[in-house]
Amino acid sequence: MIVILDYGVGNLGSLKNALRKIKIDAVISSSQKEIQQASKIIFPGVGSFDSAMNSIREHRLLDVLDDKVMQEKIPVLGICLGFQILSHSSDEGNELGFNWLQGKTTRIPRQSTSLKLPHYGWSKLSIRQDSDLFRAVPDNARFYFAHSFQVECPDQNSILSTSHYGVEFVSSAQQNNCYGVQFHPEKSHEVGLLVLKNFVELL
Amino acid sequence: MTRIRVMPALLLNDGRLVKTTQFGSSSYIGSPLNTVKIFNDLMVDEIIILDIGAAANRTEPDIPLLAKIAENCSVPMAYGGGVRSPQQAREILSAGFEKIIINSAALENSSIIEELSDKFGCQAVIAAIDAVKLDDGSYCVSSYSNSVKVNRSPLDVAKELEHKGAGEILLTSVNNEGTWRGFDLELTHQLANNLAIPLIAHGGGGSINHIVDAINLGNASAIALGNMLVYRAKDQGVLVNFPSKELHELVHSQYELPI
Repeated sequence: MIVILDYGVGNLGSLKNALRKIKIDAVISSSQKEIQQASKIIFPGVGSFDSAMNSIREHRLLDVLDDKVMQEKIPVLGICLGFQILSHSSDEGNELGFNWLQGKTTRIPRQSTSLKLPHYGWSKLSIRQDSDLFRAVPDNARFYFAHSFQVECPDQNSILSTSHYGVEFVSSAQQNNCYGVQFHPEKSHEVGLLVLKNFVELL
Repeated sequence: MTRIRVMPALLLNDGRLVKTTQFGSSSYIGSPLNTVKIFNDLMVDEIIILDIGAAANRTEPDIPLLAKIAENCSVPMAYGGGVRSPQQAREILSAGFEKIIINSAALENSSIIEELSDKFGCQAVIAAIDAVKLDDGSYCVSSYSNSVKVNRSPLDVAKELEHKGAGEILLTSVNNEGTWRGFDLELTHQLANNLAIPLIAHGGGGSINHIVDAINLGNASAIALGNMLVYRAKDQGVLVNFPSKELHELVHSQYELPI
C-alpha cells in the first residue's frame, strides 16, 4: 500500500491525480495504523518546514515513520518540501528534520539582483549517477521546480542529479531506501509521471 | 538553466470561460474543462485560472469545479478569485492547485499574505496587482475585478506584499488587458527591477514580439496570456492554441534566464 503522508498542507490533490493516471491507488493518511501498513511512503511537496514537522509530531508519527524507514527500510520519496524534511534541518525553520538523508536545507543564495527567488520553472537535470528513479527518462527532460531552498548533500555519492539556478543545486538524491527530488514529478508532464512510476515499481 | 515561463490566464465567470477587454465587455470562450485539457496536451508551462465572477461578486471559489479542472492537468496550476482565508486556500491546494492568487483580500489586509505564506510556503502564494493607469500618467490599483479603485501605487503594493511573504507578483495592466496592444512595459520594468521575487507580466500580450519585449525591456520572469491563446487572431473566432514552435524559437532558446 502506497501512503501519501498528510501533514495538513501537502499538495495532495495533484499527487493523488498523478498516481491515478499511472493506475496507482494511494492512500492519503496521517494515521499511525495506515502508515504501519505502508509498503512505500511519499512525503508531498507544499508547505513550510516547521508546519510540516509540527503536524507530523502532533499526529505522533515520528516513531512509526522512523521505524518504517530505518528498521523496515521501505522505500520513501520526498518531493520538494518532502525532500527537505528528510534532511537534518532547514534555514526555513526551527524544527529538526528526519535526518535520513544527510545534509542541511539552506536558502538558495542570490548571486545577482536578476536572480529572482523562489525559483519557479522547468529545468533540466544533470544526472550524476544512474538510478532506477530515472529509468527511461530522456537526457534533456525538464522538470518543474518551485522552491527557495535547496538540500546540500555532503556525501557526493548520495547526489543523483543537480540542476542550475544561479548555483548548481541538488535536484535529486538518494541514501539507501530514501529518495528525494526537489522538483514536482506530479506536475512535470509525462516525464514526471515516469519518475513516479519508477519509484512505485522499486522493489 | 530555467526557461521563461509562458502561461494562459483563463477567466472564469459562473463556471464558464470568458474573455474581457479592459476588465469589461465579456465574451464567452468555452468550457474550462475542455480548454484546460487542451492546454495540458499542448504542454504549456503553467495555467492560471481567475474567477472574475467570484472576485466581482465576492462569492466563494467553486471548489468542486476546480477539482474537476485540476484532475486531468499535469502542469502547475494557480487559482485566484474570491480567496480570503487559509481554509479556502487549503481546499484549493487539496483540489490539485499549486498556487493561490490573492488580490482584493490582500489590499484590505496584507496579513492574509503572511498567513498563507507561513502555512503553505511562499512559493504557493501569488499576489495579484491590477494596475490602472490614470489620465495624468500615474497609477493606482483596483480590486474586486476593477470595481473598486484603491489610491496606492502598484510598486508600493508589490513591495509590501513581497515583504509579507508573497512568492510571486502577477501584474495585470487593466488598461491594456484584452487590447492586443502589448504589455505595459514601463510599469513591468519598474516593478521587476524593484522586487526580489519573480514577476508575471499580464494584460495586452498580442504577439510573440510583445512577449520578447516584456522579457527584454520589462524584465518579466514569466508571461501570462489571454487573447493570444484563446482567439485565432485579433477580431477572429475562438481557437484555443499555444504557439510552442514560435515560442521555442524566439523565446525559449534565446531567453534562458542568464544565471
